[in-house]
Amino acid sequence: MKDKNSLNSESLAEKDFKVLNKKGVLIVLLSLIAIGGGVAYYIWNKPKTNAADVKPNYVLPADSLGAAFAKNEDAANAKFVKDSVALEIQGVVDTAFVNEGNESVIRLKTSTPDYPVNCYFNSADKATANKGDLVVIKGFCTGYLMMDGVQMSKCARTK
Amino acid sequence: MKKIILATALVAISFGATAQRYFSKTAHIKFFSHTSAEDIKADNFKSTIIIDQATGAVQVETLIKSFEFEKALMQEHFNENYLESDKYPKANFKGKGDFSKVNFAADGTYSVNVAGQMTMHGVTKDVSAVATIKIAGGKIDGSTKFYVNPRDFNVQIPELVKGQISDKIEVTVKATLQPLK
Repeated sequence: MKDKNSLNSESLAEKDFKVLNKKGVLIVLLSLIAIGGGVAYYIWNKPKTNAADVKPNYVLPADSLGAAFAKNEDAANAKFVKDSVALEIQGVVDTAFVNEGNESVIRLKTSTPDYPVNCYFNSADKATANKGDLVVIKGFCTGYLMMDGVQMSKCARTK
Repeated sequence: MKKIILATALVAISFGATAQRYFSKTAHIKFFSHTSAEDIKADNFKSTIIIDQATGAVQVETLIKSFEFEKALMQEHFNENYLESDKYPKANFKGKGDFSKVNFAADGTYSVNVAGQMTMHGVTKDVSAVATIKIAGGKIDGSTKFYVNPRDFNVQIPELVKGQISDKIEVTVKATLQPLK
């Protein structure tokens, strides 16, 4: 039969365990909140994707991209716009300028009239090129715009 | 009398010759949503506008994926959840405005009523607005502002973020127009 002292020490140990257990739960909860907050903060502030950081899903001449949209816009949208696939385009510069949104734009010639490829760079990236330059540009195709041609956004020049 | 008729005819012919089409390939379209919880805005500097002075026809076309938000997450939600840009990559407006009183050859500011149909997210709705055409030193600036309700275009906004997105979204369009040769 256990004496009174041993009973007391047991109940003390039980108390300590409960306090420790509570502390443990609190630490786990606070850690989870901190991790959750950190993840939420990262997701909320995650940087915009730039084509420079991704491997292209398609590598093709600007000519082929213009021709694809001229032939069948819906099919070209399904292939080159859907799911934000990355494209690497080779072509000859027609013109380069900065638009009203302070974005650098390089327009590539194609052999399909009204279907040039317009490559837009982020406002922080100043892209320069001269008419006639042969360039290679990665970007995300956003579609075809009447009178303006095929549009590529978040571009990065690789050559 | 013959001279008057001839002069009138010449004026009419010369007016007809100057009445033409004007366009912009770098029109700026801005969405702005204001709620007590949050202000959200998106800009697109790659939209096309064409107006035909003779017929009054106005056409605007824009690509949904060309709208840029401050936050990448907002842009992702806008494209994937709300406007479903993979399924509906474009928005456009086709309408008419009374440009007959606008003298594009001289400095001046004009208000023009424009009305037509806007298609977005696969839904077409009637839209009307007053546009301002300002001509100064040969530069032709056009602008307009109107409001749209996302629900009118079948844009589903989850309950969780309903308080953060206005049901009266301000749409501003600004463009510097050039004669179409």
